[in-house]
Amino acid sequence: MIQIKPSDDHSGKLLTNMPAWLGDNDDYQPVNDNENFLSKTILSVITKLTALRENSTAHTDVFFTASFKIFLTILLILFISLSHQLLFLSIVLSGFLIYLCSLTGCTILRILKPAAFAALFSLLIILPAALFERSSFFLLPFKVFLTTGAVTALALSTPFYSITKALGGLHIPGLFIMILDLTVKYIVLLGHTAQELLTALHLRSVGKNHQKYQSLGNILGMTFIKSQEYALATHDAMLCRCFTGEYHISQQHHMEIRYIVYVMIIIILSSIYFFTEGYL
Amino acid sequence: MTALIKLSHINYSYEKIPALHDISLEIKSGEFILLTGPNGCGKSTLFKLLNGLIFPSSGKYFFDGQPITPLSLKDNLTAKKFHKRIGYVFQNPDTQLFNPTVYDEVAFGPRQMAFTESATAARVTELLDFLKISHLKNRAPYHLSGGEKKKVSIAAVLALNPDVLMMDEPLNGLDEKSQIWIKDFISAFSAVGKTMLITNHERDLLNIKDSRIIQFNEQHQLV
Ligand SMILES: Nc1ncnc2c1ncn2[C@@H]1O[C@H](COP(=O)(O)OP(=O)(O)OP(=O)(O)O)[C@@H](O)[C@H]1O
Ligand SMILES: [Mg+2]
Repeated sequence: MIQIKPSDDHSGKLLTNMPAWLGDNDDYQPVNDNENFLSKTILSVITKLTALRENSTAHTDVFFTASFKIFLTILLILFISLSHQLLFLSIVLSGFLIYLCSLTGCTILRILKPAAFAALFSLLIILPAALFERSSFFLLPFKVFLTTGAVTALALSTPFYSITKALGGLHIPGLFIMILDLTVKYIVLLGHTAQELLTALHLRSVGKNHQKYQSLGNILGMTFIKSQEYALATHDAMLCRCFTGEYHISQQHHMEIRYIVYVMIIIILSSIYFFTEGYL
Repeated sequence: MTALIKLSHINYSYEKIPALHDISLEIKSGEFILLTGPNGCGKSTLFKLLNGLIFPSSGKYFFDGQPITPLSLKDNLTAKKFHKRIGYVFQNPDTQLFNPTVYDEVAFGPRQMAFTESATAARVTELLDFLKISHLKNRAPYHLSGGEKKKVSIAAVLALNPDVLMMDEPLNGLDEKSQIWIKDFISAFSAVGKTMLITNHERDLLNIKDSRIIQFNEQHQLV
């Protein structure tokens, strides 16, 4: 039970100024309005956000560092794109399937869905080519499937911050990485702002809103202004912590046994590629 | 002893909106200052000015005898030294946290001060322990709760080990336990001889011995 104490000396004054209609109950019957539009917009924003959020807490492999995973993914994409041999692609596919077996069902689905979709799409595009070239036309969808799968697997198994950190290890300038980091922060933060504003609009949409697009436009405008405010304030915060233009990214490098494993994986992958292509 | 912070006849306005009017103020090293006043009276603006983020339209600001002007802060070394000595905990922690993880957030200051990675790690670990947020180490700051964000921003500022600590509405949005913790922390920090400036709407909320209360009125002046 909440008790309002009249001890505050302002309260008496405030109460005498209170409009009389605030004391009455309105008898309001809402007219029907199509709420779908707002709900759908809110829903899509929320789903996009949760995707990012989940990624930020993605499980980290203790054994494989993010730098290695990025390097391996780039190497894989390179080899897959250059390869002409079904054998090589099949070997990569089997390796990929073995990797998938170690994941949970939900993660497997999240990797396979975009990969399968991309493969299907590329298949549709090159379908006419099948009329002329029968032997190798399906290599392309196969390649698309593998590369999309590899990138999705990387994204799902590595939190975004360790990807940007690892870029530092690959000698990408610190300022570039900082901008990447800040961009992700803003996407989440602004998504949050937009989501809150949309919810506020939703909660106050108790009647018929004839200007749905205008309300939505206002929200986008507000989000834009907020983004500018955030950016300025963040710059202030950085100045206050001695930022004068350089950004240090920490990278510890100790020689470890696992690095030998990394090198072996890369050597094996490269040999398979060169062997199947007939260079060895 | 000369004043650590000296403001003389400061005026400031945002475009046409006045925010500070004829402010003169001296703060000695080790003092505890409580800034109070109604909403919109200019407390946050004064903090920004003291941190060299904005500059007065008229009047002078000296920090430890040095004039703080856009020109003097152009020099990287001067700017770094100045910002290292003042810690500023923002009213809104959302804008203060800009690193991908809590650990990096707290480590940002020491890294800027060119600490080695092991010295940085030691400092960060101690601070996270001190603020009881070690479990948040690898989380992204923008996904934390309001109170957690506040603690992370305090840790991030303390990592610089500033001489002067300014906190804008430190008790805002914190639960009772955290409020008590912050109050204890504030008295402990001022007890070791650090200069502190705290804003709060209610002057009785923090009762610290020997505090000096500075009050703004609605006309953006000190009373
Ligand atoms: N970026 C800005 N642009 C324009 N006007 C501003 C800006 N920031 C603050 N103001 C105005 O300057 C005045 C002082 O604002 P300030 O934020 O310093 O108040 P405050 O004392 O910190 O208030 P509160 O207790 O609500 O935090 C207010 O009238 C405010 O509207
Ligand atoms: Mg304020």
